Amino acid sequence: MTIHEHDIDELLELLWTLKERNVDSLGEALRISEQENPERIIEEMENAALVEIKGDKISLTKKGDAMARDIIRRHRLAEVLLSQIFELSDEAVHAEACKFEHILGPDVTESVCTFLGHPPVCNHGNPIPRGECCQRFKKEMKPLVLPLTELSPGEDGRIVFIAPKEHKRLDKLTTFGVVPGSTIKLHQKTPSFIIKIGETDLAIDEDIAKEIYVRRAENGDNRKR
Amino acid sequence: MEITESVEEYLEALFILEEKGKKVAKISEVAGELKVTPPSAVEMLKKIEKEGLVDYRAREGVALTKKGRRLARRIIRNHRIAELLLTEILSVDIDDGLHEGMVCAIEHHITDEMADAVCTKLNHPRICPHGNSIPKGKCC
Repeated sequence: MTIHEHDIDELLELLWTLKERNVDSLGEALRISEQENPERIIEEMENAALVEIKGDKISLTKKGDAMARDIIRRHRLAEVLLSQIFELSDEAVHAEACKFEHILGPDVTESVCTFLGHPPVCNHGNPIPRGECCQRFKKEMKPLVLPLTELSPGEDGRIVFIAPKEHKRLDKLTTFGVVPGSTIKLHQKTPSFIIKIGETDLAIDEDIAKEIYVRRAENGDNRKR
Repeated sequence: MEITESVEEYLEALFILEEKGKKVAKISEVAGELKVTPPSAVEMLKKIEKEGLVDYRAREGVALTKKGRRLARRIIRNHRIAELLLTEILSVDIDDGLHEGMVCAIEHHITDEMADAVCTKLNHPRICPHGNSIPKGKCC
């Protein structure tokens, strides 16, 4: 990606967030933009029919609005992924999300959204624009990696990762061989979760089961290796 | 000279050739790995040599220096961790020919903190989806 496209992306993002606050002042956009020479970028954007300017009023065109929406969607989904799943610090989340918003392709964006269960808002409570996958969600798009609690008794799953609220728990699970890569069978869900791992039956609380993310084994683990 | 993405690509290619047992790689091999012409590989490698990242000897070939290998190792680690992030966690098929560009974009841009976070989440995996070994990071 050229620096130029990157600059336009940043401005589109800025205009979208201003719109969320009902601000449509060109002067305000220029003032808070962190890009070098925002006047020139805005001019380019006007030429490319991404924005319309009337006096001090700036608005996104249909085309600009659709582009801004996608960038914001990628940024906010990346924020949720990085903070909730990878537990990065707020600073790191912001820095990485700013990169991921330019990198993620459309299908991977859908994968992230589906994986996270189509979250409606980001970490800061700002709305995440819906994608096609969110509309299809209820019918067909089921995340491939899901909490253990979503399996039915009798199903096998391979552990992908564990997101423990307390790190002590992770140590305990590790001792029992509950680690990413191992295969488990869910025996029962009530009154407590009983899983079989290797030759051991293990009872765990629902709270913990929720934190163990698995891939259903019967779906055919059809990843290429 | 700034360590640009294309410098990183060269270091990465040399690291991969080393893994295949070629401690000293022929220019044609480096060029082949990167899909560039041998003359442009020579031109670039001479620039990279000035930074002390490779040893280049006409006729013999080119090898990573210690400093070059350290940088290469980090990029390779990021690349393979990025692959696992996509395949293991996000269930993306990365071998369909459409995602190589994105994996590369991630490898050049993610921080060590991010790579370590993914690595830890996956319990410090030792091999990437293609069976290549993942260099250990601080977290491992």
